[in-house]
Amino acid sequence: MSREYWVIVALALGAVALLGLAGAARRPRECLFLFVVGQTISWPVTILMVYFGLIRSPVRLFPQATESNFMMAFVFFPAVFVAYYRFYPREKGWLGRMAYSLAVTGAGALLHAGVQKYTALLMYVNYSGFHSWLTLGLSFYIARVYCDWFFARLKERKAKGA
Amino acid sequence: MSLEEGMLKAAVAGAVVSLALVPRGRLPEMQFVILFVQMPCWVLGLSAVELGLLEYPYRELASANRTSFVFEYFVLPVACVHVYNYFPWRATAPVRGAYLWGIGLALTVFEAGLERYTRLIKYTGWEWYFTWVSVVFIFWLAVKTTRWFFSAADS
Repeated sequence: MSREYWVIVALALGAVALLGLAGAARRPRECLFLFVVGQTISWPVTILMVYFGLIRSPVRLFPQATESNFMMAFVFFPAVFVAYYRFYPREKGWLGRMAYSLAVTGAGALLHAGVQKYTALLMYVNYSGFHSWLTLGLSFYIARVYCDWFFARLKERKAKGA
Repeated sequence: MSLEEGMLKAAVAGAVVSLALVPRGRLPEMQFVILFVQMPCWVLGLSAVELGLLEYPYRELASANRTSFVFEYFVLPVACVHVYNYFPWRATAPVRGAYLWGIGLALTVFEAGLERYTRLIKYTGWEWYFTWVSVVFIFWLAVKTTRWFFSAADS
């Protein structure tokens, strides 16, 4: 098996490990919601980036059906978002929270850039690790604010007894 | 504007407008269904194209994606919102089954028409009843999962 397929397997295992770490077994509803929110953003964003020629994925799952990196965008990054959200340090000040967000999305971007550098799973055409950091940071921010709002609405409704 | 382009635009517009039917109290359910349903849709849609069973000759974002982006990502999830909202919970099991299989059949007949008369979809090994079974499966999964999601909070 080529190196690319080992990386795909590693990303899948990494996603499972992240979901386990985030407590998906104990909080299945919350984690499912976070996961599908992550997917709803990262998968179309990736398709659009491929469409506009920013990145390419020469080796990938579903090679006939898509030009995008399914494992990274549909499975791995959503799992990173689940863990990111579950461990978000709400009790810390804005500086601590900002540092946490920059660190997690920075690690994600570093991994993305590493995968593009050492494997044929990704190729940056008009893109860089820095762009990846920005994209991840912005998507995680939007997704986190939305999930906070959604969970608050649910709680409100429960309190009203509806 | 070609027939296909017009139909895709009409499908998106129709789906957006149809969301106005969702009662205010059901907005959280609407969001959950739309977010959740794209997951099984993409997996099934990508698999069908990968296996060479289906082609979408006219599609959005054609150079990046060979499945129907508009259908997997928006139109079918919105259809599931309505299927969930009007689901006859109090009815007997055969009626509930007929509800899902009936709506699924209507969608299947519509898709078979698209296959015959437009370039939106081509069956290259696919059969109309594959659509019927997979759409009913998605409906069922959406209804079950949404009910479970809202039945209780995580402990």
